[in-house]
Amino acid sequence: MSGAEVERVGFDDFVRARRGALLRTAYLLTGEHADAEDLVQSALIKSVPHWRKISDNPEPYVRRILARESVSRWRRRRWREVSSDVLPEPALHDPDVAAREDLRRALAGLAPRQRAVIVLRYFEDLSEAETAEALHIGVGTVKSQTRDALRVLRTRMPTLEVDLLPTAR
Amino acid sequence: MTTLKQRLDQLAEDAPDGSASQTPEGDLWRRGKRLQRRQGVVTASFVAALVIGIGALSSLVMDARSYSVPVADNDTEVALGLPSRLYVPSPWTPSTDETGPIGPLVALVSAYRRATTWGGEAQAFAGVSAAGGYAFLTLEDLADTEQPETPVAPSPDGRWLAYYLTGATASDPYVSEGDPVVGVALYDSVTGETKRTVLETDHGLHVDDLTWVGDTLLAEYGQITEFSSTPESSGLSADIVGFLRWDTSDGALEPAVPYKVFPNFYESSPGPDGTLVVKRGRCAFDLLSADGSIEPLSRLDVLCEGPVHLSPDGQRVVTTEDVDGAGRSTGRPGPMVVADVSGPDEGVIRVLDEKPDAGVIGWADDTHLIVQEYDETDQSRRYVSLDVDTGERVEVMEQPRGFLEYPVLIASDALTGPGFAAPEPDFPSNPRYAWALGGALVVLLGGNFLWRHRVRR
Repeated sequence: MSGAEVERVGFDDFVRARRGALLRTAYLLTGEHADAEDLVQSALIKSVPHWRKISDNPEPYVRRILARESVSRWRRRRWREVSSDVLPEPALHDPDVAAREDLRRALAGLAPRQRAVIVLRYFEDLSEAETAEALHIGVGTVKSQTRDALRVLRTRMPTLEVDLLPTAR
Repeated sequence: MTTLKQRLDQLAEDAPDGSASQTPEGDLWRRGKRLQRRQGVVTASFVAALVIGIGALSSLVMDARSYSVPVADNDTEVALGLPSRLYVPSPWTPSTDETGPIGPLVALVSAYRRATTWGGEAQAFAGVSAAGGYAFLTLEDLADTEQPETPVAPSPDGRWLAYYLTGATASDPYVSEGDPVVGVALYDSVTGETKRTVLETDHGLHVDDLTWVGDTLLAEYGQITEFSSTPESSGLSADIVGFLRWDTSDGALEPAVPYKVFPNFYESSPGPDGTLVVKRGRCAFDLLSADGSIEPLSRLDVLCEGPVHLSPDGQRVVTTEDVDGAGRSTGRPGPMVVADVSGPDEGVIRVLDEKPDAGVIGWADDTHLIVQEYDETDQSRRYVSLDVDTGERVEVMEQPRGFLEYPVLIASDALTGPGFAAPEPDFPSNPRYAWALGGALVVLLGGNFLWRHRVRR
C-alpha cells in the first residue's frame, strides 16, 4: 500500500470513528441538522490538504476548523437569512424535549461567536486559552463573549445553572 | 436543576448520526484533494507573481540607480573622435545635475526629456561625451527662441557650449518668436559651471547664430526698439549693436564690438589654426581671425551656395555649386565641387558628386571629407568619409531618426580625431513603472494578508 493510500485509509477510519462526535458539536454550533452535516463535511474536506501533518492526532485540528467555519459561514450566509422575533411553538410536551428546545432556541439567539464560545467552553471543555486559539481570537474576547452569552442565556432560561469552569489549563 | 453542560450534552443527542448523509464513502477525500490542488495553484500563482514583481521592481530600481555615463580620461586634453553611432536617449536619461559633468562633448542632440516623474515631455539638449555617454545638459535660462536656427553652439574642442539666455527685460518683452533673449552663457562641460553675461535691454536682443572662431565666441546682436505682435501685423525694428566677443582661453569679454570689425559670416566654416573661413561675393573666401583680421585666400570661378570648407593643410576647398543662379534658390543642392587653392592646378574645379543628397560637414584630414547622407528608406542619416582623390566612401557614423527639430551639432575637432565604437547607452525606464509595480506588490501582499486573516477568523 502506497503512502497516499495509507493516508486515505487513515482519513476514512477517522471519519467513520469520529463523525458522530463531530456532528454533535456541529449541531450545537448550528442548531440545524442540515447545517451540521454541511459544517462537518466542510471541516473534513479542509483537513485533507493538511492530513499528512495532522494524521497522528487530527481531531483538535478538525474541531478548530469546525468552530471557525461555524462563525465565518454565518457571516457569509446572514445576508440571505430572514430573522424572526417569533419562533414556532414546539408540538411536543415532553419536559425533556421542551428543555432541549428551550436551549436550542436560546443558543440560536446568540451571536455565532458567542455560541461557539459557549459550545467550546461548556461542551468541549476547552480552557479560555484553548478556546481563544481555536477561534483565533484573544483570551479577553473569549471572556467577554462568554459573559455576554451567559447573560443572554440566563435571561431566556432563568432556571439554568452554570457550571464553574477553570479559566486555564 | 441541570447545569449548562448537562443541557448541552442532552441537546447534542438530537444531532444527526450521519446516516442520512448523501456523501459516498471516499468522496470527502477526493474533494479534499481537489481543494489541495486548487490551493496549490493559487499559492504557486501568488508566489510566482510575487517573485516576478519583486524581480521586475528590483530590476527597474537597479536600472535607475546604476545609470552611468562613460567619460573619457583626462577631460581637458581628451582627443575627440566620432562615435560609430548616435543614439536617441531615453526621456528619463539623467541630467548633468545627477551625473556630474561628462567632459568635452563630441556632439549635441535634441530629444524629449521628462524632467520630473509626473511632468510632461519637453525638448532638451543631451550631450554625447568623448567616450559615447549621454546626459541631458542642465542649461539654466536657455532661451527657447526661433530667432537663430539653433540657440546653442558647441566650441570646436567640445569643452564649451554657448547658448542664449532668457530673463527679465526693462520694459515689455518681445515674445513673438519665443523667449526674450537677454544675454549669452557658456556651459563648461568639464567643470559643469556656467558663465553668464546679461546685457541691459528694454525688449530683448535681436540675435543671430552663435559662431566660434577657434576659442572665441562671437554673437551678433542688436537691441529691439519697436515691435508689434498683433494678429494683423507682426514685426520688429532693431538697432544693430555689433558683436559680443568672448575669448574662452583667457576669459576676456567684450560686449559691444562694432559690427564693422567683422564681415558677414552667415555662411562660414571652421578654418585651420582657430580661424573661420568666410565667403564673400560669388565664391571668394577669406580667413577670419577672432580679432577681426582678414586674410584673403582665393576665389572659385563658380557660383557657390553654402559654406566653403578649407582643408587642414590649406591646399584645397570644397563647396556646393549654386545651380539656381544668384538670388534664387530652389532648395536643390547643386554638385559638390573641389578645387586646389594653390599650385599648378589652382582654381581648377572638379566635381565630386553631381547630385549629392546631403551636405558637407567638414574635413577629416587633407584628403578626406566628412559628408552627411540621407537615407530615405529608414529616414536615417549617415556620416561618410569621402576620399576626394579616389571617391572612396566609408561610413563613419550612423544617425538614426528620432531626434527632434534641432540639427545634430558636432564639435568640429571630432571630425579630425580617430573614430570609436559607440557603446549603447543605458536606457532608463519610466520610473512610474517602478511606482506602479511597487503599489501592485503592496496591494498583493495586503490583499493576501487580509484574505489569510479573514480565513483564520
